Amino acid sequence: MTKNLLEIQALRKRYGSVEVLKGVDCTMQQGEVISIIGSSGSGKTTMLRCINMLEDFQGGRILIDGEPIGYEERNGVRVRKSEKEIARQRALTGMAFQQFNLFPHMTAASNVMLGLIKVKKMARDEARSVAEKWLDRVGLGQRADHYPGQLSGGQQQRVAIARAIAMNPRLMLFDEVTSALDPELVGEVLQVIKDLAADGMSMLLVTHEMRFAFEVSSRVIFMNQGVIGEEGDPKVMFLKPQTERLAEFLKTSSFA
Amino acid sequence: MNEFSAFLDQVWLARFVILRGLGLTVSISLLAIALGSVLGVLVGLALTYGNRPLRFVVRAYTDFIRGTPVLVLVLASFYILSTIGIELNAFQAGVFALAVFCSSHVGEIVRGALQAIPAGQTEAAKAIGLTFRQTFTSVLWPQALRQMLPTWVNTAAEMVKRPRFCPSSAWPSFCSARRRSSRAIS
Amino acid sequence: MAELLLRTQEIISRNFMSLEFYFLAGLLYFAINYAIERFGKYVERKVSVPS
Repeated sequence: MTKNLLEIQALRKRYGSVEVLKGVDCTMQQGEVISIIGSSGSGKTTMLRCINMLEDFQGGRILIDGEPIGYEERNGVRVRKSEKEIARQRALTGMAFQQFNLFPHMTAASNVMLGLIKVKKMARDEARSVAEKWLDRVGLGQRADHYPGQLSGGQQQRVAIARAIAMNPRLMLFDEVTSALDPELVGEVLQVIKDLAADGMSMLLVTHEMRFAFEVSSRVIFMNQGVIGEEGDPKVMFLKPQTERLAEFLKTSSFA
Repeated sequence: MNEFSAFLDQVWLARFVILRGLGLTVSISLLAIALGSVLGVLVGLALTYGNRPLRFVVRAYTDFIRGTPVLVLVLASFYILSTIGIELNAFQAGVFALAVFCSSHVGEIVRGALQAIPAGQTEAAKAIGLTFRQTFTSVLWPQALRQMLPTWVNTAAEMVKRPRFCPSSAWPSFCSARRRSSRAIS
Repeated sequence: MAELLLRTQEIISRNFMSLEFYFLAGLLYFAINYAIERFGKYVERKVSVPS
C-alpha cells in the first residue's frame, strides 16, 4: 500500500454558528491531480484554505505525508501548533489564489525569490537562478524584472504559480485561479497547470472550468453543502453522474 | 523704496536673532518629528496588531492626545511632569510635547496604511511559509511606508508651525511656578 | 526658548514694522515646509513602483 500524500479525516469548520465543512474525508496519492467542483458556498475553497492553515478548523485532522497539519494532541487536548511550526508546514504546500496576490512592490523575480531566501535560506544568487528557471517554465523569462503592475492578469497569475512552485512544495493548491481573468487570458494559465500536471506534480484544484477539470484531473470531487457529494473518475462524474445533485449542478454549469 | 531699504536694514540688524529663532524652530520640529514618528510607528503597530487591552489603552492615548490642544500638552509637560519628578527644561518640554502630539497622528497614519493593505498579501506571504515577522518586514511594511508617505509629509509640515507654543521667557519662571504647582498639589 | 515667531514679535516690538516682519516670518516658514515637501516628493519618486 502506498502512503497517502494527503489525508483528510472528518474535517469540520465553522464560521460562528454556520458550519461550512461538516465532516470531509478524502485521501490523495502522490502525483494525483484532483479537481474540486461544486456550487459557491459548498465549502470547496474553505477546504483548500484549511489544508494551508489559512483557516483554522474545529474538528478532524489533515495529514500531509502522515504529519498532522496545524494542530496536535497534547495530554489529550487539541492545541494549535506554534506559529513557527505552522509557517514551516505551510511551506509543504504551495498555493495560487484567485486574486494572484503578488507583492506589488517587488519585481516578478523578487516575488519568487522572497520565499527562497527567507524560508529556504537560499543565497541571493542561487535564489535568482531558481526564480529565473521557474519564470522561464511559465513562459515569463523575459519579464523577470517587471513589476506586477506592468504585467497582464494572466502573466501575474503565472508569476504567482511560479512563486508557489519554486518553493518545491509536496502539493500545489489552486484556488479558482482563472476566475478573475479575462476569458482570453484563461488559456495561458491553464496551459501552465497542464504542463505541471504532465510533470507529475500533485495538485488540488478548485475550479469552475469544467472542461479543464474533465481534461486534466485524475479524479474529481464534487462538494455539496459541506460534505463530499460524489467523487470519482472524471469520465464517470461528468458523463454519468451518480447523484441527482451532481447531475443538477452539471446542468447549470458551463460543461456541455 | 526707502521704506524697503529701512526694512532691509532692520533685517540685517536682527539677522542673528532671526537665524537663532529659525534654528530653534527647525531643531524643535525635526527632533519632535523624528521622535514622534518612531513612537508613532509603535503606536500604529499596537493599534493594528495589539491584543484587546493594549489596543484599548493605546486607542485612549491617541484619542486623548489628538483631542488636546498643543498648548495644553506643552503646559502639561512643562509644569505637570515636574510634579512627578520629571524636570524638563523649556526646550525638552517643547520637544517632548510635540513628539507626543506627533506620535498620535503618525500612529493613526500607520494604522490606516497597514489596514489598507489587502488581506491577500498576508495570505500569500503565509502560503509561502513566511512567519509574521518576515511577512511584516518584507511585505506589509514596505507597502505601508509607500502608502503613508504623502500623509506623513503633511504631518511633518504641520509640525513645523507648532513650536510657537513652546515655553518662553514670557511664561512664569518655571522654578517658582513649579514650586507653586507642586505645593498646590501636595 | 525663543523660536522664530517669538523672535519676530520681539523685533516688531522694537521697530514696529509688523507687516514686513510677519511677512518675513511667513516666508521662512514657507521655505521650511517647501523643503520638507520637496524632500517627500523626492523620496516618493525614489520608491515608487513602476506600473
